[in-house]
Amino acid sequence: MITRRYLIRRLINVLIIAYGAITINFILPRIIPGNPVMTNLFAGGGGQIGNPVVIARLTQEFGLNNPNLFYQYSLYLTQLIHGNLGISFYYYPQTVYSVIMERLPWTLLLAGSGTLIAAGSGILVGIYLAWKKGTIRDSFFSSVGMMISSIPYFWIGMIFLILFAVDITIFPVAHAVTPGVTYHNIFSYMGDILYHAFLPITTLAVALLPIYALQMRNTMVTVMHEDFMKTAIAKGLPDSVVKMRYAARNAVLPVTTHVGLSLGYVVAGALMIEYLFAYPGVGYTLFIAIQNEDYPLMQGIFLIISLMVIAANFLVDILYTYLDPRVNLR
Amino acid sequence: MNNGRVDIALQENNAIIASRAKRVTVALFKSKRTTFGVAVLAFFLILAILGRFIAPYNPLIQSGPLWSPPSESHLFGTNYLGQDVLSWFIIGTATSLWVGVSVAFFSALIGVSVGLTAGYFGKYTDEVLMRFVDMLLVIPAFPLLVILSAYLPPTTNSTILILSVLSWPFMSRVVRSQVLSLKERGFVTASKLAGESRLKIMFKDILPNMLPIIFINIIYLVIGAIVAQAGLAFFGLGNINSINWGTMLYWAQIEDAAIQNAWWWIIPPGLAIGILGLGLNMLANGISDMILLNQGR
Amino acid sequence: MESIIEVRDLVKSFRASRGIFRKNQYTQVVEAVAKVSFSIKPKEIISVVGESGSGKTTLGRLIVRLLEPNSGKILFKGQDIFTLKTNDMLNFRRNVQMILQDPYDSLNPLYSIETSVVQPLNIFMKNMSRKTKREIVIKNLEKVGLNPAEQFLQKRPGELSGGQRQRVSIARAMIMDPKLVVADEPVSMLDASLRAEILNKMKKLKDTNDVSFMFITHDIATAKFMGDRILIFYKGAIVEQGNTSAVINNPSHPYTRLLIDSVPPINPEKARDYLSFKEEAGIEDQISTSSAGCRFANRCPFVMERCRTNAPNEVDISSDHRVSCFLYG
Ligand SMILES: Nc1ncnc2c1ncn2[C@@H]1O[C@H](COP(=O)(O)OP(=O)(O)OP(=O)(O)O)[C@@H](O)[C@H]1O
Ligand code: SF4
Ligand SMILES: [Mg+2]
Repeated sequence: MITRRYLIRRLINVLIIAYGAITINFILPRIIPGNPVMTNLFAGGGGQIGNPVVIARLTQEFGLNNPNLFYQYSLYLTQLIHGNLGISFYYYPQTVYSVIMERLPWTLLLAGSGTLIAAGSGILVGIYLAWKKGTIRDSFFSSVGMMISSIPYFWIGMIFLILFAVDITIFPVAHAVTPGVTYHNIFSYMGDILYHAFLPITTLAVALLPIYALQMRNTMVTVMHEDFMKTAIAKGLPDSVVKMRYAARNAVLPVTTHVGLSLGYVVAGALMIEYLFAYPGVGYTLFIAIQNEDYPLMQGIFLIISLMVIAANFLVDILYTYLDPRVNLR
Repeated sequence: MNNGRVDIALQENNAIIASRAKRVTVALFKSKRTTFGVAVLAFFLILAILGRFIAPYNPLIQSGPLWSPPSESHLFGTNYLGQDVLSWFIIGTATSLWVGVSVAFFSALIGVSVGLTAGYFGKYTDEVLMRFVDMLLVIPAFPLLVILSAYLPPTTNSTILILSVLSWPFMSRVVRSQVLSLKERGFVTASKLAGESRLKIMFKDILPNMLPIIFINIIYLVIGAIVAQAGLAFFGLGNINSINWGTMLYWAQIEDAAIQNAWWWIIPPGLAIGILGLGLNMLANGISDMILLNQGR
Repeated sequence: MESIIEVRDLVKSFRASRGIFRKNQYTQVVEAVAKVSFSIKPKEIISVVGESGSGKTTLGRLIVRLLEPNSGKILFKGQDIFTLKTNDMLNFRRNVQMILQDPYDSLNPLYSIETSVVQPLNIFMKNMSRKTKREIVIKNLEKVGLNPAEQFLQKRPGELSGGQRQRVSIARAMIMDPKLVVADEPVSMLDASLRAEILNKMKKLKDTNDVSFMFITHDIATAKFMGDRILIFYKGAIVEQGNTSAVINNPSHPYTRLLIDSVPPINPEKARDYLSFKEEAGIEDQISTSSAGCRFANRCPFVMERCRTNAPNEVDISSDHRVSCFLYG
């Protein structure tokens, strides 16, 4: 069972990891030869980099003209605690923090619903495949699954674009809402959001589904070989009941953990899909930042996303330990 | 002991070794999955090696009308500059595979070294290394890849470096846990008793026994690196002027190929990655089944 | 005669951890070897007899220094083996060998039999030619009954039966002409038909090679067959030791008598406990008894008041026969 001691140990662990991410974020621009942030900052590169006001503020807030790295590091940490991630070069005068917070809800909507749909249907497909284990249907769909799970997410999105937004124009090709429209009520607003989010979410869900389905299938096949399954069958319960009730229930938990631990993929997928559909979330913003050499924004995005994934991981981990004592057979 | 006996013994031994090699080959081709995997791999390798002789056109010059769908002279159609898509695809195979294979090589090198070190020294070394590995495993790789690519000069070698530096942690975990379990095996104890040094035990007894598992993970590394490179290229990172499956998709996106309905430009690279991924996965699964079977004996 | 191994007050305990979390309140200490003293003479087979979990393997692993003790000493030719450094340690490895319990696991599956058996020669005889090494390997394989040896050289362990593998392990342990070989239940994984053959091989090796064996077994009949001397082990402690015929003909400790099954228990109430071989009872039992008093008290039909509070000392029954029990003083 879970003890307070265990919780504290996990917490310390996750704090160390978060601290690591924060430190990586500080070190990266400083150890890379050529030091693009610093050079570009003063030489004046693309975007707003030349803006003397930006330079002055960044230099002052992050102590960039002081060569002492420990001094810079302590300033960086202090600023971070106050939520200051610097100023965006491109979106000046907006701060990095406000730019990200503005975009984040769209990403959460996309990633969250994509994951839920993919996990839900993936688990069902997995049960079905485990059920049909060894048949032609199983090997066919398992193979298709393996194939899709190695295809880049954005490629699936491109195909969907051609199929549903170009060939037959059902869905919009870009944006989160129709530009320049005023809404009569909240429902038409929500409707517009869903209409725009449909293709991106579907793409993400289709890309993630095989991962969960295969995981569920394989876990279930393993569970079905365990002793208690044989006991259940020996008890005279019908095969189907055994498979559904016992194997599926016992396999769902590990797969759910996998859903939590695969957030890294989800994030990567969401970022690329946003760019593809010009969907104004963090991923699209990241693309804009890359195109305009907006280094503070890129780093801010890296940091916020990392911290969120680390936190989510921690929660899933704790949740799993709470639920772990296996579902009993009674 | 007379020489004749020893010589005859040696001849018999050569026969035994030959039959053993034959057995492995037969086992590899007996399963449909591994046969398929090997065939796919061979197909793309041939494409990569002989690509420049097979490609019908120079991919960088205009060889037909712009945006033309597949035809007899251009089996995969042409792109927005009238370049031959099939030639892009064939030539691009080499770079994509090259990235996959070299990243797999370097990250396997790092991962195996770290895993062996952690497992060999144990204690604090192990604790520190594994904490670090855990951290790299939890931090989402893609945003980190993006930042690193943005900072480094946009070359294929940078991409290989970045992907190698970030892909090894899983391998090191696998290797470490293998070391820990193999350490407890009787034959390791027997070597210790024979007076063998710890280092030699590590490289002669422990490492060789986990080569199949390392190989399986190398396969996963290859496909992971190809996909990651395509993702970075899609974001315009790395060398966008090099010809590979990722940059094909990058230019297709930049030039709105999807909106232009130019499916012939988009499908080949993605489908190729999918088929290669399927083949490699099947090869890996087949090998791991063979390991399980061997252990069952 | 001067003894080659002298064990003095040897103690080894393990932490038996329960559950996922190490070092929490569930951790308990198991005394696998508790203050054990005895010696092994040249050209002698000493059998260590005890039930499963009594610490026989642990004792064996300590003697070949696969484990470090909590306290106590093992002297090899007068030197404490736990203080040996590099070269002396190598010399010790050369002279003290062990045959492991599980023949299916003690040969590297990737290497040919020759590669496995020749390994000690590669380490200790760096200048020997390959041909000479091969001849020595062949000679040693033939000694353990692998005939014709040449046929086995390039085979992998996977192509051999359990009995053949155990012979290979024996050949490998014997190849440097060690002074002592610890054989940890070398036949327990084998068919009954093979056992006698391998046991006889080992007895013959004792005479031809001037080697001592420490023979670990849970079966007193095997011990009787093998041993010059016998050592009865119960929950980490020696309860009786001595010349084999003396111990077998005049079993003195209640536990030894149980093993030999010569004396029926007096009290029928006690009889059940006495006869119950709790094979895997291990940990709880061991912990409950490791505190004070005789380790056998819970099962002993003759248990007395003082047995529960004090541990008995070893007393001499005859010249080479000692027992730890209050029945004898
Ligand atoms: N590495 C270890 N860690 C923890 N406990 C151990 C370890 N090795 C042995 N033990 C414990 O020490 C006790 C003695 O074990 P040992 O293997 O020496 O017994 P044994 O007499 O050889 O038994 P068997 O006849 O089954 O081989 C057992 O309770 C065992 O659980
Ligand atoms: S000391 Fe006491 S309890 Fe122990 S064996 Fe002898 S009589 Fe029995
Ligand atoms: Mg044992």
